[in-house]
Amino acid sequence: MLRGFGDLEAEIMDRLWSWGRPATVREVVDDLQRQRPVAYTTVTTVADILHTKGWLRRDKVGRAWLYEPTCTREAYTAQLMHQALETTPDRAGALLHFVDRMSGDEATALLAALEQVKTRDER
Amino acid sequence: MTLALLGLYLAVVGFALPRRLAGSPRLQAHPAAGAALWLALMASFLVALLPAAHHATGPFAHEPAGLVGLIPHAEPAVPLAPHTHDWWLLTAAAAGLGAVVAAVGVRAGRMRRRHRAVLDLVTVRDRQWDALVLEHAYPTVYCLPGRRSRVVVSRGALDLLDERQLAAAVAHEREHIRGRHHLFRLPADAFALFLGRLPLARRGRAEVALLLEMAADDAALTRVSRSELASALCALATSPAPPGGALGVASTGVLARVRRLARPGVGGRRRQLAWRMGVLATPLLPYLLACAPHP
Repeated sequence: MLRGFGDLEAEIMDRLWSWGRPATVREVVDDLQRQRPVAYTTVTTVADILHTKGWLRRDKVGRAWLYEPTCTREAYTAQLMHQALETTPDRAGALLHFVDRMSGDEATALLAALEQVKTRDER
Repeated sequence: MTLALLGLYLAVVGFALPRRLAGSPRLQAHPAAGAALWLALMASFLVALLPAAHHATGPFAHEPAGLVGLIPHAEPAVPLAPHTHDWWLLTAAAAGLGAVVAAVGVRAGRMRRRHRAVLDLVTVRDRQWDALVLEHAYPTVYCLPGRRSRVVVSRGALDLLDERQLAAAVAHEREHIRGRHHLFRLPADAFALFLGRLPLARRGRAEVALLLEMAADDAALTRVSRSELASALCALATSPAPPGGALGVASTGVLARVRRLARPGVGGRRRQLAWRMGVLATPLLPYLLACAPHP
């Protein structure tokens, strides 16, 4: 089961993913501060938490840590999609899907039914 | 006598009736009312279980009461205990039931919360649809009901569906959220969790889910046409399965929904009051049958 990120965690991951390169906490803070005031130390702490949780790896360059996500956004999304799509009937109460997939022979009957709807609409 | 009658009632409600009602076009004509009837039958089954258990443990200890008592019966040869109501048993049963439903609800809620946190991270909000876009080739549309609800559309769905079809799919999901359909599924899920093999539980749960889909379809029809909705359903249902194998549950639900959209007279109003009274009365039937005091 994937655990979601907290708000600030999500914002940090989002930035690092979009930039696609290692970045320092300072860069993340500067970017965050365009939207709202946020303390440098807070971001440092949260980045450290993300590192502990294994979502970020870091290298020391000069005096600052350079942070980088351990997985791509796509890999993360793929896990998420799997989780969303794997929703078995037992857990279906949590999510409501527009439609379920169907087998090949049902599909033929389905298209025939669709034609009926269309003719009905035209009348 | 009372026990036999209650047993008969349980057999009818638990086994015979579900087979007749499953897929019934009459219920599908008014899906929300149909779903309510299924839930009422489940409640009624549980209500009947209680006096049945009570009578099974002491079959001849009571004077007949309820409608059973109206049936002519031989004067008993031995003195009988008066008909009793065990209110504590009733309260305990109701509390237990409430706890089970709440536990199932809490579990679903926790799963939704986790899922929402993940979604908010990996998706991008689309202003035109007011939906979250998931960058994934697999076409799907779904919603996260409840407080802080979300409608999710994948990139695959955006590519697959045209503007009107997408409007139909999104409208359908919004109606799920607006109608709080997840709350209707909750008791059916909880019931099926414990009595999963009973036809009433197995069929009832699937039927409640399907009828709620149909209810959302109907509500969406105020904004999109039947063919737009039906073609969106078909496009998504027949799109290739996702990579990685057996995800997605095969279901005849889509076919039933599209066939229903082709039928005339969907979405009309029926004699609402009579129907509601019937649905409300169903859970009380076993009580009237076996327990109601005589004037």
